[in-house]
Amino acid sequence: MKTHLKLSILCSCICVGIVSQAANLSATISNQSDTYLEDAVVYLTATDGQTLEYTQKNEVVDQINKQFVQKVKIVTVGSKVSFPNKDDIHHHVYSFSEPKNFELPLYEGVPSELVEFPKKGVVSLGCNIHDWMKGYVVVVDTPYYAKSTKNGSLEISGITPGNYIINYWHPNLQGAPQQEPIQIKAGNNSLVKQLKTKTKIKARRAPRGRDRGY
Amino acid sequence: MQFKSFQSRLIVFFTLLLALVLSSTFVVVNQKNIRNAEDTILNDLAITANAFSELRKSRIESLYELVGSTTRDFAFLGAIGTRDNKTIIDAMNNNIIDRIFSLQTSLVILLNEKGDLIASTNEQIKKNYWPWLVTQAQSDEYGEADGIVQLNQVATQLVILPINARGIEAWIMVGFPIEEVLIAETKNITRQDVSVLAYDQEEFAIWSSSLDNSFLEDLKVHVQANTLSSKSQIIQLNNERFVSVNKVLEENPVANISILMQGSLDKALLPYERLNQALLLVFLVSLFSALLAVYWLSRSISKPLEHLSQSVKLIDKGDYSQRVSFVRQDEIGKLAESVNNMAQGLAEKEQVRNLLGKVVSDEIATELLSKKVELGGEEKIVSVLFSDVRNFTAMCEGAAPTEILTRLNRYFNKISLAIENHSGVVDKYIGDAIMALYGAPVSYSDCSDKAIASALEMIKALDELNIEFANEGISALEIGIGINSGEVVVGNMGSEQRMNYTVIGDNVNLASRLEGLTKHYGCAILLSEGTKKLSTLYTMREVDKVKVKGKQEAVTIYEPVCLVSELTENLAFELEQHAQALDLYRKKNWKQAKEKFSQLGTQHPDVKLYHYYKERCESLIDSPPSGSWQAVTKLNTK
Repeated sequence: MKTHLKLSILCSCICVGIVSQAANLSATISNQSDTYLEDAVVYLTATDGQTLEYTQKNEVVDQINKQFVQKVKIVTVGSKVSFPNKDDIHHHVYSFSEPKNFELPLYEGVPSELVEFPKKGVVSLGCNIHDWMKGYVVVVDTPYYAKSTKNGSLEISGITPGNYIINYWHPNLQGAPQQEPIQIKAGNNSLVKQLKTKTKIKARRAPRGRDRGY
Repeated sequence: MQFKSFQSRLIVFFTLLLALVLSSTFVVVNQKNIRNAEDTILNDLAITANAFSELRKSRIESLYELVGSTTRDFAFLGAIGTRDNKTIIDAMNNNIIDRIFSLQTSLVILLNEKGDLIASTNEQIKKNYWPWLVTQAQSDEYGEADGIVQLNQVATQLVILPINARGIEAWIMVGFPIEEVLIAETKNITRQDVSVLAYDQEEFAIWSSSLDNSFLEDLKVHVQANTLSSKSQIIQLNNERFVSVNKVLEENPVANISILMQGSLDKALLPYERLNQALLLVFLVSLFSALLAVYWLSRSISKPLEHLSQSVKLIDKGDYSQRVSFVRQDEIGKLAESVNNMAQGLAEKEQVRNLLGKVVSDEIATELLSKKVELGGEEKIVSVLFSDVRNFTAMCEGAAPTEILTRLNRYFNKISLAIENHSGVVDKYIGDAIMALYGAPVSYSDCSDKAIASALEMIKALDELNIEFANEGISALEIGIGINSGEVVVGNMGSEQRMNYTVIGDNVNLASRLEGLTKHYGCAILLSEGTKKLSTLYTMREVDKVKVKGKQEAVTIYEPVCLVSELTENLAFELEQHAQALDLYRKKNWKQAKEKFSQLGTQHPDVKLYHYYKERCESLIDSPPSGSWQAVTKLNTK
């Protein structure tokens, strides 16, 4: 799998070298309090209802140590995702999200079937047994997408220069995904974006000692 | 306040004192009782408020946990995940209202992430009426909030919490009626009624209450009249007094909400009422017995005092034989004993006084008794009278000594009376002589006139006695009286053990000398110049100028004739003639003097003085004196 990934990166580099008109977009994402956001998803979509060509792939979201790995997975519409269980206990992966309402009832190891994501949108993943397990499959209809690293930076390469709509999303984003028009020029494009995140509501696990003021 | 008797003063005083003490005790106890009852009620109501709060807190906690647990139920989430309204409402009814029946939830509402209504178990709720509760939850770290609202005319406790399933981000709101859940349970525990009072920034209203209608209606009147204070107060509900307490629960955008609790003061005071009655009885009994005790005590004092007072009154009137008869060991007994001793002492003193009055004159006795008896005296102007029986020896002849004493006492009785009649004081009896004082110990400015009047009365009294004596065949008495007036020393003389109240001085001696001269001149009474000077009432006849024994200066002596007011023309003429004759005599014109005296003697044979001068003139004519002659008679008789 790793060799395969390296090969594809190498191919992209070669392509950049061949197609002189190709462009890059590098972005740094932070929130309103200037904290770099990890797992922020940025993707470009076509303007005026046009469609961009993209390919479907089979993707994998692991469950390791009762966590989804990776926490945020970007897939193209129509791609299929496998949810292999690497823990020695059962998991019950599900989502009630509108783009994809599904469940993989208690299973061990690699489930026999792949889950197909036919609609674009954010699909929130959870485990019926482990409340805290949280994962996201962001389904996009574009080949130009990336998610930010720990320091909030990301890069989308091999973009055909032109006008696009740039989409931003983050698990803690306050409100709907943000969209803005953007012009991608040949060569390196860069931008800095601040997203408004919300404070997370804590899960109720044990009786609280907080004073409610009666 | 004036009391006529000690007894009534004592009774009124003690009754007032006791009544004051008892009534103030009663008032204080009563106030303390009311205060205690109020405190007890306040304490009970504080417990009730606490019970209510704890129950509410516990209910809300339970809701958070049980509803929170339900919202993680996969089947429940699946039902919501269908996004089908009927399915969701059905799931909320089944999984929350029916399954968590112990929480008695009456309402479940599902809201989307923004707080818009998705589904409600109550069909009447078409939208989210309480968006502020969502806002409050959004700012809570666990996404939870609660508040009291009015729903279907009753107070409802709402609780909101998040549904945080993958793909479903929503709020679930549940509610329960406070009256049926919290108030009823609080009443079960504390037996106290609780009402929920709300103020929606315009008016107060009771949202829910466990009070009976009869009380609730009155409470609503208080609420509408806005007469309830924020603290405790006493209000009237259905003609019963209640202590009412208001405790704030919460302030939310809909209203300020508190609970009102009442405890019956009248019921709490019932046991104290019985105590008050018992106390009143005790007070009355003690007041009555105290009155009896005071009556007895005052009788035991006033009765003997009355007795004593009567005895003392009699003693005051002079009945010294009075004795107080009761015997007691206390102060009154001692007082009675002292009164008895005093009466005895007074009786003894009276005896002494009576005796003294007999030995000395009344005036001297009074003087002696009124002052401290001590040696020494004072200078005073007095008239001193001396009288003596001239022919005492003749009177004694042929009579037994007791007979003589009897005659003398008869004489003294008469003479003494004449002295006392004119404020004279018999100083002493010297054999058959009497010495009397005028102007001592009591001073009189007219002491001379008193003495002269006295002397004239003495002569008159003697005449009467002599008639008595003549009838008895006793020879008549003749007396001579000498009166001198002037400064003498008056006081007690003698030794410390034995003393006399008397007078001494030259003037006393002169009076005695004058008495001695009476026989010589044939006058019954002779007065000194000093006496004449002080006298205003009497007309005098000058008798002579004499040099008495022991005196260098010549003294003019006189004889009283009559009161000035009774002077007749004839008498005045006679005195004038006498004065002229005396003048001739002193100018050595003895022949003419003799003629005049002879003439006067013929006209007034009873005046022996004229005869005396006639003879003296004859003697001087016969043998004229050699050398200087000063018309002063030298007399060496006593």
